[in-house]
Amino acid sequence: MYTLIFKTNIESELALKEIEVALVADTNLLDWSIDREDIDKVLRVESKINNSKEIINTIRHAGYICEELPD
Amino acid sequence: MRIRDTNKIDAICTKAVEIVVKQGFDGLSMQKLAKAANVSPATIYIYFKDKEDLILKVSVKEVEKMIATTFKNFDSAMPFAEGLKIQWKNRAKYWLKNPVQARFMEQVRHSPIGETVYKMVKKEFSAVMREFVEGAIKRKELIKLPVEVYWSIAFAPLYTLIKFHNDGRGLSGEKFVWSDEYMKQALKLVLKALKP
Repeated sequence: MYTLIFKTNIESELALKEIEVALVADTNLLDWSIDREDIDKVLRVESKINNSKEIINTIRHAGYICEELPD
Repeated sequence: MRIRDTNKIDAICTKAVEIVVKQGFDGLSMQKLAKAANVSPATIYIYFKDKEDLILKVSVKEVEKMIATTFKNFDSAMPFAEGLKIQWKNRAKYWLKNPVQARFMEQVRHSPIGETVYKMVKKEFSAVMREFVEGAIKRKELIKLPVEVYWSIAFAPLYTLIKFHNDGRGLSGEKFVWSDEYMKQALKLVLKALKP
């Protein structure tokens, strides 16, 4: 299992719902959450594989900023 | 697959406790904590979902440490006087050695997550203590009392002395320092009060 961390601009309830819809199709994801209280709106994903690039594409496709947050 | 870095986790937990004690829960942010613990924010997010998850996990960790110390050399089948003495010694040892953690636990207790933390750890703790008390009552070593009344006599005096020590001041504002003599005095009277 991989824990992947991203910086985003997902802030509103609406944004959260849109991301929910976007991520539900990815069967590799075991769990995910967004810390909307943090300045980087951190998206935290627990995934079966290291599919950071796909996740970034999905979020960007939904119209939001997404980049990997480096260690 | 990342390996758990226990040094980093420890640093994160230690600094989280310090920041909460100094600035309250509102004063804690993942960014501030990252700087204080000398890790990147991403590292914190690997182990903790968000601030709430962090505080919850840190609280549970602290309570578990405290419970382990409390039960050292303790057996719920012990005679009441002996068992209570060990409880007092163990609890005093933990709280005197960890004043920052004591303040942190106090904040947690009075916050919304206090109940959640309590629910998560209470089984292990209260089962043992209940056995201890019920055994003592059966053997006629302890008066049967409502649990809050029992606690406010059996343990509240101890915690009051610890608080005076951790505050550095007694009732009159004068300097107060814990001593085993004070503990013995208080315990003697507590045991006397609880004896049938």
